[in-house]
Amino acid sequence: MTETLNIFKDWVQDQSRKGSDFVLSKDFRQRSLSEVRTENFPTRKNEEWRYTPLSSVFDRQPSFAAEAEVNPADVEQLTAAFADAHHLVFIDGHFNRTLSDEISVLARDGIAINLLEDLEPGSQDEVERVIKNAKLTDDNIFRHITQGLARTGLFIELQKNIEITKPLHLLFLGTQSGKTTLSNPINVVHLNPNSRLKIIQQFASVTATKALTIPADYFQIDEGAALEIYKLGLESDETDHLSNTYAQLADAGSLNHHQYLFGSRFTRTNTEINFAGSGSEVVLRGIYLGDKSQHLDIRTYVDHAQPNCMSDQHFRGIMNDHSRGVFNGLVLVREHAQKTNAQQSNKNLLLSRDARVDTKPQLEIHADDVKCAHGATIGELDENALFYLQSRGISKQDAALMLTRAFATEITQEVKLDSLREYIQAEIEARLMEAQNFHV
Amino acid sequence: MKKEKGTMALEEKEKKTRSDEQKALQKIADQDYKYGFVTDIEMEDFPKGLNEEIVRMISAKKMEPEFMTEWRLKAFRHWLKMSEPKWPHLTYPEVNFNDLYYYAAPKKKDGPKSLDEVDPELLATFEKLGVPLEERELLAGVAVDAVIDSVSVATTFKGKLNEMGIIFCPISEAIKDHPELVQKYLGTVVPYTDNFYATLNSAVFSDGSFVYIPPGVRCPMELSSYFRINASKTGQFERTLIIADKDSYVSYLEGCTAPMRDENQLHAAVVELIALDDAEIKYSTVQNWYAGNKEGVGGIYNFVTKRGICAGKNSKISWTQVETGSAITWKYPSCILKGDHSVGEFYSVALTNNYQQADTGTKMIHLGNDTRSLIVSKGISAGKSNNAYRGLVKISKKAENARNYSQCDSLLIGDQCGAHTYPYLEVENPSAQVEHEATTSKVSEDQIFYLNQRGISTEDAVGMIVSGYAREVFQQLPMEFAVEAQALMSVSLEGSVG
Repeated sequence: MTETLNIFKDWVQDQSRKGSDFVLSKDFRQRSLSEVRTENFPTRKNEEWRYTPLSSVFDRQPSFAAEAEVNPADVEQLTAAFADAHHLVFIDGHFNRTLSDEISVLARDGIAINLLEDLEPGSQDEVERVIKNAKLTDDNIFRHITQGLARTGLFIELQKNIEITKPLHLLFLGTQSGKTTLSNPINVVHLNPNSRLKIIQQFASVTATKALTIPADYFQIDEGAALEIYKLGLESDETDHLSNTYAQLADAGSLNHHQYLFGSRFTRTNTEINFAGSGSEVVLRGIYLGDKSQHLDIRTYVDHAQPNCMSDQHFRGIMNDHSRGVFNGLVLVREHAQKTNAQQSNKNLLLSRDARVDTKPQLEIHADDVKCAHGATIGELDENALFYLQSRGISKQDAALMLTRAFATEITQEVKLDSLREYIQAEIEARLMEAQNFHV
Repeated sequence: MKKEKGTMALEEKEKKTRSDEQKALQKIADQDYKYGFVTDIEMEDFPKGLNEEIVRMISAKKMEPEFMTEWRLKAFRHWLKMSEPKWPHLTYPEVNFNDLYYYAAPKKKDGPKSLDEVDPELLATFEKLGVPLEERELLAGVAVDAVIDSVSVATTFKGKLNEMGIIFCPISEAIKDHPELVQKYLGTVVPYTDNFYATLNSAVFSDGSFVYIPPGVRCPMELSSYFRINASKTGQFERTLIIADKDSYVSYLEGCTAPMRDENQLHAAVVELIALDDAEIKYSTVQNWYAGNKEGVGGIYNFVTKRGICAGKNSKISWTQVETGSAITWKYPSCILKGDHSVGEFYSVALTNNYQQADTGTKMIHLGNDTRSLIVSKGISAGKSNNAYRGLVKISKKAENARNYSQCDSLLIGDQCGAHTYPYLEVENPSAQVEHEATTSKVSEDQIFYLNQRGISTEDAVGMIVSGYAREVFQQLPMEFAVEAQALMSVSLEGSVG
């Protein structure tokens, strides 16, 4: 294992020497790369990676793909579902101008969207400041690789008091099979006071795509600003996805972060929230739906560093076949964070003999005047409910599907964008139908 | 003018009540550790430090058979290769294992035949602790295997238990008298390779209790052992082994107190429980070892490995613990549910005050079919203390229809303390039903005010609220322990409010 690890590390350093089209400053990248050199890949001895072995990930040698020709129909098929959105399309780790909407036009509405590769040196500092400000508790090596070798990404800044009603649809599409394509976009979103924005972040691939996707997201939410993010993980069975997300909220900020992780061979998302002001609200929602031998791992870390904030997490897992689901969440309430309200819930459905779930919902509380609760359940479909439906002439298969759908709907119903909600529900439906091997 | 006077009088009164309250609280806060005294008994000390020679000496001293000496040495050699675990939510200075005495026993000429021959000092110690050794033992119906610094001094009720075929004796005696049982079961639940402290214990354990309940026997009384750490700078390494043979029942009580000392003392015990077919073991602990003073100086390090195996079908192991003492408590009484239809239970109240730290919980490992487990954990943190629940529920692939329910609540008193919950749920079988719930709350001003206005003092109010909160666990304790535990809670708690 150490050998493959070293090969992987050497490859990273080698790329950094050879490449010239990096988007962050040299100093900044060097720091990340030196972290890559010294740090090891997390093993199962690391509490945060206890249930998620990485050997299968770095067994694969990644490479950068050149800008490829894509069939516009493939993209249109994906963008059509969100007709009422602005589309920004990345293919195999490159921004695609022809398939994306014209971004400069959007500036009219008070939103500045810049590609990191187009940034003036001054604005680059701003991006790096936001990244440096992010102190992740699971500061894993993948984030450093993403930064050390960053070639593309977005810097989105919304002006004060501006609300953009039309969501931004960020599509990250993989198209290459054969070699494992590295895609490592960085997305920095800064909402100035009282501004509002919705983002759909879709990770998808053309069938049989082989890729390693390691995005890093940074959200800075100023006073009274509100961000809604929907992340869709729909990549191919041959894609590994490891993401890091960091959000910081000032006074009275609001973040709604949803994750729908249905794809990939291997998924690990790390979402860390930092309350830097009081009176803020964070809602985290997610469904991980596994089939075949997929591995899906959601980690959350919510740091209540300031009083009077609310966080509400609800994640659900549906595991089919040989899949394995992991939830690892922690709520930290610091000493002076009185009047904190933190809820954390994780429910899991095991639909097959060979599926497995490991969950670790954790609370660390250092203040007394708080409302904190967490709960977790793991089980199969309710026998009685199945029987009830069957006694009404519904086949066992349909009954199981109905109950599973209902289980998922408790999360998806909270998606505020109609077209998106329908899209997610249809996706769940299709995947459940395809799995067909309900253990009932 | 008149009105103003009235207000003033009210204020005056309020001030007075407040100062009364403070005085009362201060009084209790200043209360010295009730059990803080040192018995003046000559100690038969070994040299300090730990090496193979010491291990051999301990074994020789106890006239142990060859297999024990070998087992100890194996453990010791393994221990040398291990390092101290760092994962719990605890902070403490490193323990220097070469600066400890590994064996201390009251000096005695020949073994006492009856209580009359026992050192009166020692009896007085038990007296202060309230151990019912003499007539009271009959009234209380308790058979005591008293352990003072590692060697059992007096064991009562032997005769009556003997008649029923129950073996209840110091483990050192069992090693000599029942080597076949010891060899068969010792280390089967907690192997000598298990963890740093359990391995150390395996190498140097001095004494402890041994219980064997023969098939079909229901032990007629609560078996009880009082542990005391007495000599300064002596690591206490107790080893307890309880075997409940087919269709038997036993309830075992463990109570612990230690005298006041300024240096931290280490206690690394190992408890192994084995329940065969249809057997039931109930193990209750009340631990109020010295917790250190208000500045967090001194106190016991309590690093204990407790584990039971429900080896047979329909067997049951139930752990109940009330932890109010020790500077640091670090233990996870666990159940391995191997037999079909076996049941594991864990009831815990852990109270920390001042600078105490506790990292405690349980592991429920479901291996058999139709196994059930229940976890009820109530943490109470006050002062500047930290209290963590850490638990594992594991349903293995072959365990059909397993069921677990965990309830882990935390109560915070004051804004300087911490309450943490780290549950681990690992499920590999879809027929399992596993649920975990946890809440965190505080003793609210409204609750206290409500009781105050009914004429109940703030102290009593807090006591009432807390015992109500922990009632579910106290109910599991045998009567005499429940009373003691309630009293302990109020003593440990008060002084923390205000």
